[in-house]
Amino acid sequence: MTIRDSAQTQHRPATLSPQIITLVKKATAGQRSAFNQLIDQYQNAIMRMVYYRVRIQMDAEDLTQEIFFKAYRNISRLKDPERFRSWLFSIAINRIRDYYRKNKFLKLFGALPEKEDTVSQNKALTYDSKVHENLLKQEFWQQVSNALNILSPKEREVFLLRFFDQLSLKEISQTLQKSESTVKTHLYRALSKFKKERSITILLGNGQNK
Amino acid sequence: MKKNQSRHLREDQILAAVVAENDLPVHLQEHLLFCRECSLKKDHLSQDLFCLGQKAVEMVPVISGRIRLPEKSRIFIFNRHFKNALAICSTIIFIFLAVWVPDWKSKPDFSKAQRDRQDSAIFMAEIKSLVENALPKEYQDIADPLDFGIQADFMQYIVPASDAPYIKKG
Repeated sequence: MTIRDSAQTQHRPATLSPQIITLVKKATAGQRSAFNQLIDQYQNAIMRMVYYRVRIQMDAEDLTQEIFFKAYRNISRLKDPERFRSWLFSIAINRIRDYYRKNKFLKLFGALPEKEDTVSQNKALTYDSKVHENLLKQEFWQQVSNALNILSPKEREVFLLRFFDQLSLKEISQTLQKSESTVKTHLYRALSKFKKERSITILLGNGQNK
Repeated sequence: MKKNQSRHLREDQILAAVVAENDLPVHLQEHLLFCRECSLKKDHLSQDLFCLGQKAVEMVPVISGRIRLPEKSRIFIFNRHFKNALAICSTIIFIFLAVWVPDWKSKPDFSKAQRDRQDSAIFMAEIKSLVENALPKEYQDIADPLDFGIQADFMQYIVPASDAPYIKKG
């Protein structure tokens, strides 16, 4: 596969397979087994999506579970089965926003330590045998954080959904309930800022030379 | 074609192509199709971003265990209904308190003791008025006081007419 082929594959709009659509229809009709199969299909994608934004494994797992429970409770409201993926991601986005709101509130009253993620990561580093791998991960996410910090919240969200979660522009617009042109504008601005930052060029270079 | 190839895409146009190639003007799309240099630039950027996404996937810890929906137990259903019922009851109680309690407070208390006290006060006021404004007997018969169901003799005893014999004697 050439560079062009792989890039085009990545940018192809993601449509749901007929098998998934059938499962969504069954789940909408109330079949638990069908929904369990959908969980199997999407749990890794949702876990990744949450982890990109939360960066604490335990919290990410808990949130992933809550997202699927919430989706199960509300799946009867889903009118168009083809929108299942974007619908699931919109639930996830909202749940993550709640998580941040709650954490902000807890931090305000000192009920939550300021750098919980760092503490847990350090603990993991102390006891984990794969210290080197963890250090690499930590460094990577630090670089990503630095890179994303130059973006506005909207640009960051669109960028993550497009290039990390690999959603199509249409799916992003459905997930964020914004028009496609707005999504494209945010994405364009994000890329413009990215190109200007030297740290990003290094990060992109690292990504390519994996 | 040569004309197209002579003017390469600017940096911002390459970025726009990465975002949505179809949104570019037709002549730029054609240029991108035939100009190797521009298409390579665009593809390299797309590839870099794609690789970044792929690397991020590798850097995410694997989820421990499968997610399963909780079993539909009777306790779970009961809890759900119980919560709903509790919410409805508390709402009703709140509305009841909010609407009826102020009404109760504003209404006077018509208990028996209070009614008796009010009657007594009216009665005493009437007696006081009659004592202060005593009339001859014939006038008293004309200006009959309010009927409280009291015997006339008793009334005469309490409020004697100004021409009563024992008053004259006194």
